[in-house]
Amino acid sequence: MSFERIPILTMGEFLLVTIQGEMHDTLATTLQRELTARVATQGARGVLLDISGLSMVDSFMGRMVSTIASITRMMDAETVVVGMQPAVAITLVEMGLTLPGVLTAMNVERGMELLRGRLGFAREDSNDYGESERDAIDF
Amino acid sequence: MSDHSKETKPTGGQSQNGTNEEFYECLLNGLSDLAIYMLSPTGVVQTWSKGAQEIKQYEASEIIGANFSRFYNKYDQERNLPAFELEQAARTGKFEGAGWRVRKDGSQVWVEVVVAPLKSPTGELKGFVKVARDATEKKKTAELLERQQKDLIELSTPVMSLWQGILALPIVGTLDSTRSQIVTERLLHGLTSSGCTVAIIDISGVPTVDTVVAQHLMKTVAAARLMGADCIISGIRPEIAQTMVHLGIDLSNVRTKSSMARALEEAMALVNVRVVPIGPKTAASRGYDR
Amino acid sequence: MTTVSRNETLSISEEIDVVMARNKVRLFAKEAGLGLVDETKLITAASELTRNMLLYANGGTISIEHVSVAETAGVRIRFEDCGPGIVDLALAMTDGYSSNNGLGLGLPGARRLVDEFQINTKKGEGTVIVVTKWKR
Repeated sequence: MSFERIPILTMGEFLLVTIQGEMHDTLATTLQRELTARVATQGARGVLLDISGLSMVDSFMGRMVSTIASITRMMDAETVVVGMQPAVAITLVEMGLTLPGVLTAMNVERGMELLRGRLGFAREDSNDYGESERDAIDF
Repeated sequence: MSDHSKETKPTGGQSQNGTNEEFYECLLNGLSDLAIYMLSPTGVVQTWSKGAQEIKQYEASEIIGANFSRFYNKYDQERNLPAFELEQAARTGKFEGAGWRVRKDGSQVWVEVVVAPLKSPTGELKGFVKVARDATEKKKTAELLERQQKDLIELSTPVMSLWQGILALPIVGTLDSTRSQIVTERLLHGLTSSGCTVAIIDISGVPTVDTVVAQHLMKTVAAARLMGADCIISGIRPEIAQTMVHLGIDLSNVRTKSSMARALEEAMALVNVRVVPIGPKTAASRGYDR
Repeated sequence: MTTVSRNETLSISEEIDVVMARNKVRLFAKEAGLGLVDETKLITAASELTRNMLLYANGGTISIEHVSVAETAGVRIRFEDCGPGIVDLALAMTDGYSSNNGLGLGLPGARRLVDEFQINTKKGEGTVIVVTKWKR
């Protein structure tokens, strides 16, 4: 199989995982293992799990997402699920899988903001593009 | 039809049978908006009426002796609908249905049909009587109505941008299962395409909220949350709030507000925006206060 | 009257077959003209049921077909295995129950995603599940 690994990128204090294409069970399990290892070795403070490229998420993948969030939280890193497609969200809710306790964001930028806010970085890092745009509206 | 009564009047010399036949022939051909014809047990056309000619365009001489399956389109022929109709009629005593049929010139006609078996006193199947009515106009009207209804649902559920990052979806009218699905899909797609992170669903135009409707609303909120957006439900009228509590509907996990204005206030807080007066009160605003 | 036009049978014996099954179902859903949400629901249900077959019965076969009743088109999928069967069906259909350390959403979750759901199971002989999703 050509897609045995999902790349994990480092973005400052955070880790970014972009899942694309077909997800199969072994791949999901591998990701869970590698990601928790990276959180530990890098002391990452947050994980962004970008699933905007996934056209379906079943209960196995949903469970994997919940597990990753629980494990990383225990290791002091919040996980944000980013970019879930509308059809995927509707399907998960219909199945009764609402991922309680898992943070979500519409896109990677929002996810970063959310993580920064959680970590209390929001005010310190004011030269960030997203933040300055906000300051302009908030007189 | 002036000679109708004359012909059907029993005359002393004629046999009762002959009169009956004339009577039926007259009846069959008089009912020009109905196609009435007989089929053999295998579906070969045996008789043909004027109405049948009107609807299907075939002359009696062209069609008698041919199988009636030629009235069906290719799709219905492939799925064996003609044989199914006869089989059903023979087994249950009647087949009723409606569908598109093909006329001689290839044009389509929507017919409502009844097929009944003809049986001998001993129960042996002798054939079928088929009555078909041209209901194309009726069908077209029904389709138009359906389309308009669909358009109406779309129109009555606009997704609009209220502020940077804030979407509003005022729902007017009854929320049934079908409409709820449409509402949910429109809202979620609206969120993705606009990049908004907060949605206000206003239900002040929804006459009743029962358990099913409340469940749909909660599912929508849950789906929006999975996508990373916040939902506020506004316009909960006092009587609706009372009904919901009586029904035991728990909305404690959902942000609810009585009015759109309150909802907007909260939505703005969620996107980190605050509205402040720009300096001392203007004449206009003082006037408003009084 | 329901008519079947095209059908395809897949044999499921390893994990990667789940991916293949999902892709096949997607193809059929698109051909039948299902909307994106219905397509996603059907693929997800198929994914759940295919994985169940692998987990509990070491695999089986799936047949996917186009069905139509009057003017409505749909997709029907049949999952057939020769596994141990489901001993307590009522329990297995209950939300939250799982005999394999899952979230217990497999069967009841899949049922909620489709329009028709039939299950036939016999202890020691196997399980047949037939699901249908109609075009809205």
